[in-house]
Amino acid sequence: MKKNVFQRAEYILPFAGLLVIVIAFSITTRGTLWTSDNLLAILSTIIPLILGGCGMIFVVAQGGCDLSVGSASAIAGTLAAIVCQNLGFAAYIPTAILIGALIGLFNGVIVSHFKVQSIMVTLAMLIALRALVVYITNGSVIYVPEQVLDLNNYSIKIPVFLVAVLIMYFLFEYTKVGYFSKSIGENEMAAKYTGIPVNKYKIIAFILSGIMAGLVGSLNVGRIGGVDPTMGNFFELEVMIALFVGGVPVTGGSGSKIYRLFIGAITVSVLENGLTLSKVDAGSAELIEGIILIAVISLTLFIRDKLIQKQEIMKTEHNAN
Amino acid sequence: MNEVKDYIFTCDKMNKSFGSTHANNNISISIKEGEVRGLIGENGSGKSTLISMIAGMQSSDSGSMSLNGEPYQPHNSQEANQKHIGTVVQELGLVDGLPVGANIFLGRMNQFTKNGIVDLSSLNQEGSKLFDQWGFQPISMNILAGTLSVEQKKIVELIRALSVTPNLLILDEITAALSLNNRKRLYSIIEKLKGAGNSILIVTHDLEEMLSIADSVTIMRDGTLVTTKPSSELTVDSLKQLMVGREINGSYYRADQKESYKDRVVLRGEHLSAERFNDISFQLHEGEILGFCGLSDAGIHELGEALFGIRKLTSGQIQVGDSLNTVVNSTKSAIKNGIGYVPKDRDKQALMVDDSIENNICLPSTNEIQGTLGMILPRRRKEISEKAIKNFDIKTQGRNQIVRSLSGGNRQKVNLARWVKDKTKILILDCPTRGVDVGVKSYIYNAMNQAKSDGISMIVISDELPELIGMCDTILVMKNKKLVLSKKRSEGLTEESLIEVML
Repeated sequence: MKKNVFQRAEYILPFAGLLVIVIAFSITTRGTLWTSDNLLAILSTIIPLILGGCGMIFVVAQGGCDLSVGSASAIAGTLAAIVCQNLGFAAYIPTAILIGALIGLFNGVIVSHFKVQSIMVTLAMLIALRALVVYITNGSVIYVPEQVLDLNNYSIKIPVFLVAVLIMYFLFEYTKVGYFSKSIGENEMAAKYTGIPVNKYKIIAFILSGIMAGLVGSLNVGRIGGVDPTMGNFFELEVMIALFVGGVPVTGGSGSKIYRLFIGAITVSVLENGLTLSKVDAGSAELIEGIILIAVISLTLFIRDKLIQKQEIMKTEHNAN
Repeated sequence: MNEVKDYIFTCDKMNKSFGSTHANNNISISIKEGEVRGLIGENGSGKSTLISMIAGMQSSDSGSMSLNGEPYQPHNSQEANQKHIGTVVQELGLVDGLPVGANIFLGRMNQFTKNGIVDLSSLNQEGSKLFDQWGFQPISMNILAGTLSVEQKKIVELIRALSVTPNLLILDEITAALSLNNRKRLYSIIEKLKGAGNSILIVTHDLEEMLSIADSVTIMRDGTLVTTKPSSELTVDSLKQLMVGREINGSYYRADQKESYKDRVVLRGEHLSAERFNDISFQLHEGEILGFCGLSDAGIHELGEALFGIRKLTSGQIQVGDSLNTVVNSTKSAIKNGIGYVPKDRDKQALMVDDSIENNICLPSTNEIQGTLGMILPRRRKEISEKAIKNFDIKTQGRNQIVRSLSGGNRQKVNLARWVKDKTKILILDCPTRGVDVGVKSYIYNAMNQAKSDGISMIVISDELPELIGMCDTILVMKNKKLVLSKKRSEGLTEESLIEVML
């Protein structure tokens, strides 16, 4: 099939958006964007976005969403910090991941077996888990062992990041977990009638999302240097913005690709960083950020719309019997 | 222009292009008062395009139409309705999120509106009255259209078309979705309208049906009009020839007239019961084609779903395996035991229409193609999908083409091709030739014959009796959720003998 203009544009647009932002900020910051210190600062916001996105993409590919990852990362980090005071550092990351997985399991079971929309279930979880974090941390300071703070060293953080992303990349692009997730997003009924255990794979997707939230939570505590009740606030939204800016379809399906998450995460991080460096004050920066994101997303949707129109015409051509 | 007077509808030199495709090329037809006109052609010959222009859903590039001798230029389907042209389109045309009653009068609510508020109760009353008037089983006017079965939806669409008191009723492939009893009802409605001097334009792929109900048939091929002939001068074979433009082999069914299969039983249903069927027992042998037929509420489609593990049984057992000691109780166990399932609603239940051919074909084969650590190699996916495209002669530009851009026949080939693999030993086919043209139909029957000789057993569920009689070794008839008759393949087996039991 010949690719038409819009189809190409759909592929190219996220890259082009990133390129434009990078060039624009290279100029406005007079090159400060490219200093090694600043690149590391950008990297430190990219890492959690990609980690969280690598998990949530399974849910998004199925046409759902997981709003609970921000609160889940907070509660996982908090509980892991408490547990490792008693059991030692060895239990720290496993606990965070286990907590995340349990939250995912709960979300998944409710969504698949009680047929509740994922946005409802995870929105409720977002509120409930945040309340739990505030309740646990309220009035008491939670100290964390030295090793947890060491997690913030890039020499440890990068390998952890790479291993986790590689596993998720493999699962999403090269195994049936990813394949079935995209199929469920394309046509859930067809997936069911083709013999795919839809409920099972919905639960798996939420568990993966929860696991990555747990991992992010454990790294967050290390970065902040202790447990803070506001950590992970709005994290779920940032991850979703990264996914959608990168061109992952809001409706899920086969258009979901991990490389798109990478593009989106880098775009969002550079945008945030560039605005700060350009000495835009915090309030206006958020406003500008919002406007640019709306522009990028509506342009993507506009192009996808054109694409669908084009396909509709092709369809009438073919069905013109 | 005096002779035009006996014509209810004429169109003259209609043209319509989509990009480089000339879908309608100088089409002129005239339909007389009280005439039932058939319109026939292969998938992609331009029938639906012509109909959509008459119904006001698309505008023509050039050409003119007239209705009752006056110029007719509809801008949308409401205008067509006001001029008493009622249409049932090929693809489902209901709003799923609205109740049945509102769907029937969609766009024509004014008659029920007072001070901007729609009087739903009188609207629903009017709707129920229509069902009554045309003799269809009543459907509650308040339930959402999305919850109806395909057949019920088609009936609602038919009622909607009839509610405009049509002088010209256009039916695009409606019969394929109807079961036998409702088809009979449709025929009597056509007779009734015809008797009152109204005209009907009908599209169907069922050639026997076409010849029996149409007074004359217009044949289209590649966007041009081939000819219009009275039905009395046509036969099924000559129709096929005119449609395809060359002679095609007269019989597309099996040549032999005796049942033939091995003695080994590969699947046994033991007193199967669920909500929609009751106490069904049967045996399927190696290389056997077993057919199920019945009216719309007989439970044949639900039985098919249950055999693949999609629908849970309330009692009974589906037994498979070498000594029939394995029980199928989920889709997982069904697939594990080599059962494949081609559902009835191709675009909704079977295919991911916005996804590539490759992703559609590989979907049921993940267990076969995955390697170490569950890795699905792109190379293996390519192999499987290209083999399927080649074996089933799917007309496509490549395995990455989106299924939505394929014709109905080729979509159905994708649907079948993905289940024809080494592991499949039993195939459940629910209406395998629904809505496909003669060419693809004969292709599918050939593929079934091939599969049969390869030792694959098939369960065919169908509303088309000639298909079952033509292909099956054994035909089981269901009525009111129960098995009522079992017939072996034989020369003397007729449609009438089966219908008698079904009704």
